[in-house]
Order: sequence, then C-alpha cells, then structure tokens
Amino acid sequence: MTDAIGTKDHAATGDAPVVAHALPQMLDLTQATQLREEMIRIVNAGSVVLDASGVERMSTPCVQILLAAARGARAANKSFKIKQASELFRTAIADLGLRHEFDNWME
Amino acid sequence: MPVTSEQEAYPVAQFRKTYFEECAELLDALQSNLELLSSGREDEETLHAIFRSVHSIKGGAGAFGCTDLVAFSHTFESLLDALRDQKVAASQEIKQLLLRASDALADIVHAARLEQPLPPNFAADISVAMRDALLGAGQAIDVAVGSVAAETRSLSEQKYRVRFRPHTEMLRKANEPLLLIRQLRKLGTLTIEADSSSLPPLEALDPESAYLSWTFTLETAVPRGALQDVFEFVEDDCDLEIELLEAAAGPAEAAASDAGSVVASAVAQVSVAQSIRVDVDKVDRLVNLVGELVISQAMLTEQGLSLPADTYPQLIQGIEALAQSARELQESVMAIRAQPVKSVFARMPRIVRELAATLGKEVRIVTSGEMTEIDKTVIEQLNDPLTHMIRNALDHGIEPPSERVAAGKPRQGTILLSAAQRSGRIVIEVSDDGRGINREKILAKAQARGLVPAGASLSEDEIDNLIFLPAFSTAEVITSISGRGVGMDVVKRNVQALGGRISVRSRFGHGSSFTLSLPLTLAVVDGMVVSVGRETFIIPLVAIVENLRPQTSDIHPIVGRGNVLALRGEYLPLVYLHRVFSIGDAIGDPCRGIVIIVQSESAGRVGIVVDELLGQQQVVVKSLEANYEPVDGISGATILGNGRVALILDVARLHEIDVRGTGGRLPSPDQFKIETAKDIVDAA
Repeated sequence: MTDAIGTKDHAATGDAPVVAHALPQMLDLTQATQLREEMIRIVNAGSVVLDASGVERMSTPCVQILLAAARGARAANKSFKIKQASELFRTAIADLGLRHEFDNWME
Repeated sequence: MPVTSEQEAYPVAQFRKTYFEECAELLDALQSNLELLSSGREDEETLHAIFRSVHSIKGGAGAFGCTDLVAFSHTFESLLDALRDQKVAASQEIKQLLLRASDALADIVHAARLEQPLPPNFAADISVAMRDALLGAGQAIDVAVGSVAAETRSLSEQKYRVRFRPHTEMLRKANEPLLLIRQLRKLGTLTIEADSSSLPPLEALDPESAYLSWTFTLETAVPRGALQDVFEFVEDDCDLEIELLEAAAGPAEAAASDAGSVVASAVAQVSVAQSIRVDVDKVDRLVNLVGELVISQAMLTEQGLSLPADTYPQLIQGIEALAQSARELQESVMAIRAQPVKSVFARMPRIVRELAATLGKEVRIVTSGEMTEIDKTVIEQLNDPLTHMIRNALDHGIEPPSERVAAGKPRQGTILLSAAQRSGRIVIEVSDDGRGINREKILAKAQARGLVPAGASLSEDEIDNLIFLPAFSTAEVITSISGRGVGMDVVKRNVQALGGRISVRSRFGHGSSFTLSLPLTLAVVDGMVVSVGRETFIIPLVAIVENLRPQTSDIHPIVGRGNVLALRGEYLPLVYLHRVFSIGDAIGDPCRGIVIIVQSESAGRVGIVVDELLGQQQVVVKSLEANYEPVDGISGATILGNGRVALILDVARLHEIDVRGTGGRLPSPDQFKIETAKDIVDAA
C-alpha cells in the first residue's frame, strides 16, 4: 500500500532520526491495518514527519490510528509533525471534532 | 454520484416546500370558510376552522424563520381567537377586515415562499385595524410584536444535544461517522465535541474497532425526526441519544410545538396519509410514456390484425388484452392529473364582492358545476382569463343599482359562473344580467379606430366579437378594473393557448354570456380515422353524431354558403375537407364519399365531407405548435399504428374556415418531427 519514503535524516534533528513518511492517498477502512503497522514502525524509529498533502480520503479508523500514533510519540518524547495537510485531511479532522488536538501536530 | 446542491439542502428545503404547499391549501380553506362566515354562517365550527388555518400557517412560519408572516398571522390569530370567544362581535366591518387580512396573509405567504422582501409597512393598516378591534373589545394582544421576533428566533433555532457512540460493528460495515456528521451539519449550526478518552495506545489498538464518541449540539429548525433520520441506517450499531436542550418558554412554547407538529406531521403524512404529493413533472412524464405505449399498442394491433386469427389465437388474445390494459392505464394516469375546477371558482366570490364595493354596485355570484374535473395543467391557466371575465362583467355589464331599478331590474345584479362537460370539452360560462353589449357603440368605436371600414355591414355576432380585438375598450372612463385597453383580446389569447375557444352572446339590455370551451385533457383522444385524398385525419369521436352517404337529392346549394345536407327535415352546412385544406386527388362528392355529422358547441351540427372511413382508434395528441406551427382548423397531430402522422381536426373551427376561405397550410411529412417520450426521458 504505502508510498512511504523511508528517508532517515540524522542531520536535521541531531540525535533522534527523523522518519519522513508520505501518507497514502486513501486512508479508508481497508488501509487501517497497514497504516497501524506502519505507524508503529516509524514511531519506534524516531521523530515523525508525515506528509499529508496527497490524502484524498479519510476514515475514522485511520484517524484513530494517527491520533494514537501522535499520542504515543508525545508520550515517548518524540516529535510528531503532519505537514502540508490536504484540504480534505483538514476538513475531516475538523468534522470529527479533533482539530484542537491535531493543531498541536499540524503545520 | 456527485452530490447536488439540492441534495445537500435536503431535508430543510423539502420541509419548506411541503410547508408552502400546505399553506396554499390552508389559505384556500381560510378563504372558503371566510366566505361562509360572511354569508352569515357564524357557527363555532366555521370560526374554529378559520382559526385553525391561520394558526397552522403561523406555526410553520416560525419554524422557517418567516418573521413577517409570524407577526402578521399572530395578530390575525389573536383577533380570530377573540371572535371565537365572542369577545369581539362578528360585525360586517370585522368580516370585511378578516377578508382583507386573509388577502394580505396570502401575499405575505407568497413573498415568504419566494423569499422576497415585503414593501415597507405592508398591510400595516390591516394590522393596526386588527389591533384596534382587539383593544376596542378590551383584548390586549398577548404577545407584543417585539417579542414575536424573539419567538421566531427561538422557534427557528431549537437546540438539540446528540450523543453518538458508534459500535465497532458500525465501522466494520464501513459506515463512516464522518459522513453522518456532515449530514448533521447540513441541518443547522453544529458544534462538535469528540471524546477520544477510550483510545488505547497504538500497540493495543484494533484498527477496525471504534474508540471515539461524540456529543453534538445542533441548532436547527427541523424536528427531532429529521435528526433521527440521519442515523437511520446505523441505529442498531451505535448508541444514540437525542435530547431537546432549549424548549421555547412561555407563550412561544405552544407555537414551538405547533411548528414542530406542522413539519413533523408533514413527515408523518408520507407514511399514513391517503394521498401523496407528486411533482407534476413526474406525472407529465408518466403521461408522455403512456402516450408512447398507446402508440406502440396501436402498431401491434395493426400488425396483429393482418395475421390469421385461427393460426395465432393466443397472440390475438394477448394483443386485445394489451389494448384493454393500455386504455385502463391511460385513463388512470389522466385521472391523476384531473382536479375539480372548484379551486379556481372559489376565488371568484371575493373578487366580485370587493369589486362591487369599489364600483358601488350590488352584485351576487352564483356558481355551479364546481366539481367538474379538468386536467391540472388547464386549471392552472384558467385563473387569469376567468378573473378577467368576471371583472369585465362587473365593470361593463352590471349597471349601478339606480340604473337597474330604472330599467325594471332587481337592484342586485347576478353573475352566473358555471362549468360543465360537453362533447369531450369543458365549457365554462360567465353570464350576467347587466346591460349587454351596446352594438351601436361598439361598431362606432371600431369604425372610429379603423378596425372596421366605414359602411361595412356586420352581423350581430361579428359586432359582438369585435370586443376580442386587441386594444379595444369601450369603457368611457378607463378604470383600474378592466378598461385599460388590454382586455378581452388577452383573455382570448390565453384561452387559445390552452387549445380553447371563447365566444360571446349578448342581448342588449338583458345581459351577456361568455363561453369558454376548453379541452378536458391535452393528452389522448378517441378518434375516427378518415382519409381525404392522400391525407389522413382524426376526428374526435366525442364530436361525431353519425356517418352517412347521402343521396344526390339530399344536397342543396345555398348561395354564398356552399352546399347543405337535408337530413330528417334539418339542413346542415357541409364542410368539404379537401377544399378547406386544398387537397388534390380527393373524391370531393359527398354522395360517393362519406359525410360525418359532427356536433360542436359553437357551430351546431355540421357535415364534414371525407373520402373514406379508415377506422376508430385512440390517439395520443402531439402538439402541432411545438413540432411544426399552428394550423387553423387542426388541433394537434398524432402517430398512427402504421407510423404515419395524422392531423386531428378542430371541428368547431372547420365550419368557420369553410365559410371564410381555406384553412392553414398542412405540413408535409418531412417537415413534421414528433418528439417521442424517449427523447423526453433521454433529455431528463
């Protein structure tokens, strides 16, 4: 499924490696299992930068996973960023009443 | 499927539409009951019914934020309430005031429906008069106008709290909460509060389980049922709680519940009512399709008849059964569109009463045949011509009381308005016992305007018909009522556009009578198929009295009028179709062809000379105007079973045309394109 670009850029944040990851176009129910595995992997690997510019479909299961991933990263004192979120991504987060919390991580 | 803006606005727009449809019915009922009241029926039931109409209009108006409408109907309602409790007496002035108020209410509803602003101080005088009447009777209006606005606000913005917790099952079925939330947002102002406290750490999270729940606050005009509908398909897979947070308090409370019930009852009606509201467009499409079916069936029948019946008995039987079903289907479909003319007639008494008061005349209107049914499309077009004819009768026909008394007539004039079915058409008659048409004056005026050459001799009928000429008005003073130079010519044009005719009969000093003749339906007719030369025509069966082949001795020439047929001591004018439409290679001789005796309401009985009778069949009327161009003497066209186009004769016009000269130019087959139902469906 994933269009992950597994770049590791040590220089950018000093010690903790930054894992840049492009979120797939479709974040629907069928992608939830794979997204969860992906998130577990990259949150464990270091600081996370998610590129949400290409997201064209959102679903509650995937939003739950992103939320849990962000909280997990924060609990582990790792940085978690969502950059260039597409309009659709932003709208879905707002419609689900989660904008306030996601604002902590979105650009 | 792309979501259209219409769908997005559903269901508020739908409720609104239903509300205004109901308003039209409520206003009609209000009008009829006020008529009863002013004719002296002051019983409790009538007063209740009047009150209920206004009350229901007000209730819904609140729900849709129509402030002006709420304010006006509130005052109206208060006065009605006082009247019902006999705190205000039902005097003549009050009855007049109520009628005026009902008029204003109709205008306000109209403006609200179109979302148009009202002129400043619209109906302010009526509101003041109603308040004065209440104050005069020691009745204060229980809610001041200022608080009416507040009431509206609280009605239009009921606040609900919705708690929603999807179950895992719901997500697994790919029912997306996001979509439900967006649906909810369309109903009003939504605030969303998500609860994510049950969300486990990522490692413990089941990707397809539901962990989030929401509490929504929705300010909306729609009833609880509409909120519930949003969750209709996930009801079993979620926890759902809907509660009304802010019930409007005090006097507004009753109105709020009314507003809810008006809308809610509209929703409930769908499931329990004996009738449903259907878009006229949908019915029209059905009518078109049935028309096509009838044509296909006719084609099949024609093919079937050429087969030996003993070889294919079942096929022939099947075709016959199909013909029967097609006919029943067509009749049922037409019945859907038929409505009694009552809805139009009911508006006329008010016009008469108000105009009579303005003109200082004493007039009563007597209606009959209100239950005569006619196609809805025709009814809608009927109001304007009828109103104009009534106004005309009042303004020009009925004399002032003194003049009437001097002429030995009763002070009070009478206008008769009647409807009846006659030879497959509906005939509406407006007659008055007024002064009748002053032919001398009409002729002089027409000559002065150069409409008629000086010295021309016109028959009485011809003079009477001058009033249908454009820009012809004989009122000495141009009044705001009818004589503004646009008059009967407009009526005539409107009526003709409906496939109808208008004629006038008058006796000077005794009154006039206008007769409108309209087709019952514009869709299907039973016709006799006849041929003249190479042309095929349809004569509506309802107009046909008999068919015969006369002897040469029965035909008599009349100077200047052509031939007449002597039939059982009666002389009937003969109309030669080949002459009317300039058709070559026709038989032309009635003694070798066939004479079809037809009856029309204007020309009486006439014999139409044709070559041959081809058969009898039901045909679907296609508009000639829409597909070719209007042809005088032809009312429409149709497609026959053999695929050929045949023209439907307008029998009443034929005689006039034959007397005058020739009819219109017939279309050649390639000029004539008939729109099929398939095209309509494809275009939709």
